[in-house]
Amino acid sequence: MNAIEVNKIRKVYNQRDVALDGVSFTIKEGESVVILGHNGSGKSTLFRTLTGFEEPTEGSVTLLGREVDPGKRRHLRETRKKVGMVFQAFGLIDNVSVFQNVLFGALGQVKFAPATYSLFASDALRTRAMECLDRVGLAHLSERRADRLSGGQKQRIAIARMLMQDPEIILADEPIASLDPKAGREVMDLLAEIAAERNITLLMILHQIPIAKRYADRFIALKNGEVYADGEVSVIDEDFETALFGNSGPKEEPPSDETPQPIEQEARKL
Amino acid sequence: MSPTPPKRFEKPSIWSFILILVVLLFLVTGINNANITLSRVIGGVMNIGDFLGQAFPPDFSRIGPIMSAMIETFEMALVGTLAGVIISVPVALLSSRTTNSISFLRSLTRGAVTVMRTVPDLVWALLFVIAVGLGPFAGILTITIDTIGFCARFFSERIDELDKKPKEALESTGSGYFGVITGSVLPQATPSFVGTSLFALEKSIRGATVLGLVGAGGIGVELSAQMSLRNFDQALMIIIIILILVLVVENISQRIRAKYI
Repeated sequence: MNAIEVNKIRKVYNQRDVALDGVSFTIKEGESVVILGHNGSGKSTLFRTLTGFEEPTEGSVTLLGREVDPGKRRHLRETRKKVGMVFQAFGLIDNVSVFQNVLFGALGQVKFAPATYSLFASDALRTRAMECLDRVGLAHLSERRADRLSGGQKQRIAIARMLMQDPEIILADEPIASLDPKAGREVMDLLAEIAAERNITLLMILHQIPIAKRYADRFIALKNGEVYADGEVSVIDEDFETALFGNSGPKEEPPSDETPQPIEQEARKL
Repeated sequence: MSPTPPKRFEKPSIWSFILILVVLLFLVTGINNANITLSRVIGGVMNIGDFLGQAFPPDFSRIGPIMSAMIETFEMALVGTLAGVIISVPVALLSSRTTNSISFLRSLTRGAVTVMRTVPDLVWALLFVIAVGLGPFAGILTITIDTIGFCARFFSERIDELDKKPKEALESTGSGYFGVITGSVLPQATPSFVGTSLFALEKSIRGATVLGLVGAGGIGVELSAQMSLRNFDQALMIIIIILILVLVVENISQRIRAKYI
């Protein structure tokens, strides 16, 4: 079964700025896929559309067999419950404890929101929060305020919070862009291990090609809002990188006239 | 030839000129109507000296009833501020763009808060004395309204300034509107809410001391009575007690803010 289906998505801002133009792909359950592309290629818009934060101008998105429709709030909330998100800026509440931040991951599952406050939470919920913290190796920091953590620790707490959802899909939007290389590797190892052990579909936006090749099976490259290439990460070589990002890896401005035809064709065959 | 520097003075527009003239007119008539003369200024200084002469030493013989009036004043301020702070939270959520997307409702609550803030507390006190009669209840209602006018505005401004990323992170878990408010807006804004509430309490205590002048309970009525009876030594004692209470509350509030916020 397909975990993610994106069907001819088009997103136009202010009736003239085309962010996404006819983007289509499907991702199977348990697949690990990376989205590549330079700044402004449409990666973030794609992610925001997948999670219903943006409404596509045309086309449709289906997650776990449910259509993502920002207009139907209740239906959207139900869909989001099994989709965990990891953000570049972590999205933690800085002035509360690590434990409380993890408990907030259960907000979508409780009938009465204050039931996620540590003071009122059930024993079962509190135990589960500690298990999630233990899974990311930070149970010993449960009582620490979130703003007293390093960047790598914050991202691991954000992952623990996401685990409270018991997700079937993880969408990671540049999860290591704010981290140093060592912390970045630790976070990626953790995400990959969790996805593998629970057969979770993992879709990531990453900028670093070596990291993408190490942690993903497949890549989808976006350029100017369109799918530029889609295939196994093993086919990515220097020529492709140059064609996608320019001469020395990811850059602000992509080259405009290079033709990546051979790689693109090879990738599309896969 | 060197270039000409800009003009020292720009000629104002006709409307600015009219505005300046009107303000000047009010200034002149204001000073004129106040009948400020040198003899009155000198007389005033003499009268203050006379007051101080009669007020010293302050008379502490009625400390018992005065302290109970002071405690009533403090209680009025505390109860009124707490009620105002509690009501301010939902009002602020309705006034903020972050938490209320219905612009009509937002404008309505903002308008109501503006009315509460701009009408002076003594005017509210007069209205509530008519509504519920003389005594501390009228004072509590006055302080509640005054606190909503102050806190709801600052609370909603704080909510507007909050980092939007945690809100989006919690929305992405499938959380609904109240979940996002519970898990993101309130925890992030609470330190600022507490700080603002402590300022509101300080303001309420200062305000509560004069509400008695219009019959809305508290120590103000005692002060007014002693001044009218020219018992200046007792009036000074009341002023000293008010001063001590305000300073103590301000000091404690400052310490709490410094430690926790």
